[in-house]
Amino acid sequence: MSSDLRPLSLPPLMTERLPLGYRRILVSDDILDDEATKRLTFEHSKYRHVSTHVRRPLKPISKVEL
Amino acid sequence: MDMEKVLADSLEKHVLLFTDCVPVEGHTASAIYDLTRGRISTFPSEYFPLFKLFRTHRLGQLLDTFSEDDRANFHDFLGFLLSNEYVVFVDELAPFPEIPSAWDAPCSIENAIIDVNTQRHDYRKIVSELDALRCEHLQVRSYSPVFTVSDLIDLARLCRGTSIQTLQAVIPHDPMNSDDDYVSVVTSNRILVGLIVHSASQDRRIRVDYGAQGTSAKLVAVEIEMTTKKLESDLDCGSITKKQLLRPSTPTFNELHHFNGCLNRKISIDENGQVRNCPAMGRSFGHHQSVTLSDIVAGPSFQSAWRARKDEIKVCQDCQYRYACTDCRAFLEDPDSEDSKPLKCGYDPYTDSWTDWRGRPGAAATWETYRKRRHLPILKY
Repeated sequence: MSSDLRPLSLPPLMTERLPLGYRRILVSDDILDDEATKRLTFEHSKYRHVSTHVRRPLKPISKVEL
Repeated sequence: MDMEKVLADSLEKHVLLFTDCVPVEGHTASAIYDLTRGRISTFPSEYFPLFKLFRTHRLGQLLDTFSEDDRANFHDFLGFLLSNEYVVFVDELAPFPEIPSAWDAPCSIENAIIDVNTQRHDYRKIVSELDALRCEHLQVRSYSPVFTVSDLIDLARLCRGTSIQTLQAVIPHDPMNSDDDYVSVVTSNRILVGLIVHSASQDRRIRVDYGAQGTSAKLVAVEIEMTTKKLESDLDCGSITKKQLLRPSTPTFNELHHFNGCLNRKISIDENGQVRNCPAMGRSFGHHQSVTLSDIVAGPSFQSAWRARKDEIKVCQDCQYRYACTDCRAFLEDPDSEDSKPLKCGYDPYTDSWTDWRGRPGAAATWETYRKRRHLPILKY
């Protein structure tokens, strides 16, 4: 078990077509608990680290009676 | 909260109403707009003068002026303000200036409406001219099958790469379309942030997640609203209900101080292709194919409607919701008076009560007037 942080290896992620947002995740054996393992490998979709901003109007454009 | 102890510890302090919590006085009930948390709390207007006293008196001085009964009421009100985190005790008020109330936007037109019924419009020309005006939001409302899902896709494509950031659509249900067709048009056109399908066979909502799952999906989800109700014309607009009130924010609060919440920086193409401030308003500025939208917008006569402030509208000026209400200038309680309150508003600020506007005396007759007017020749000034 190492306490040094090391970058997550990218080639396997790219092979799986995971977004490069995963690049910012650094892995240390010390902090790689069960939850973190699941986070990286099972539960989250490949879009987990993709940030999408959907703009919306601040006010209704019209007030239709529906 | 032990209010006696709180007060005893703060007698030499000022009560500071946070500068992003703005009191708005109404006739019977008044309100505090929490511009950061986006909520409105109301309270009896009898307490409103306290906010002026907070600025001139320290707490101890204030308490000395109250009778025993008033002091109990004051405890209750201060408890309300403290528990909602609207106020805090401070030594001095000077370091907490008011938030500037100026408002502006980096566009000549902020939003636009295109109505479609029996005829198609020149969408390419309209979108191009809206782009020139830096229009940010577009809504298309269709009352008939003339405007199809494929027209919507074409319109969304035209908007790509322009200033238009969001597109909303209200279209009639076509029995030939399945849920997947509606989902497909939303998922493939991210500019489409709202889709209402009227005249559907049942009321329901279809959630579109853009392919994301889990908590992140909440950030990007769009709901397609299917409703059995039928949208027949621009007469079906202008409804002001409690749920129509804006979630307060500093930009909208400031805008509604200076401008009309519905018409400011808006331009519309009605179902006949006429350019108006709002599709339901009587005044036409010409057919969209024979005029240029930027020329119309630059004219003072077009912009005059933008300045119909709630503070100058009868009844509304006494309403504590006036800076959260986007108003309606197309259908008025008194059609012959420009500063009349909206016909379809169900709130009475003098009794602090919401009712169905149709039940108000004279409302049915006024509505009939508007229905008849709609069939008159188009007014052109």
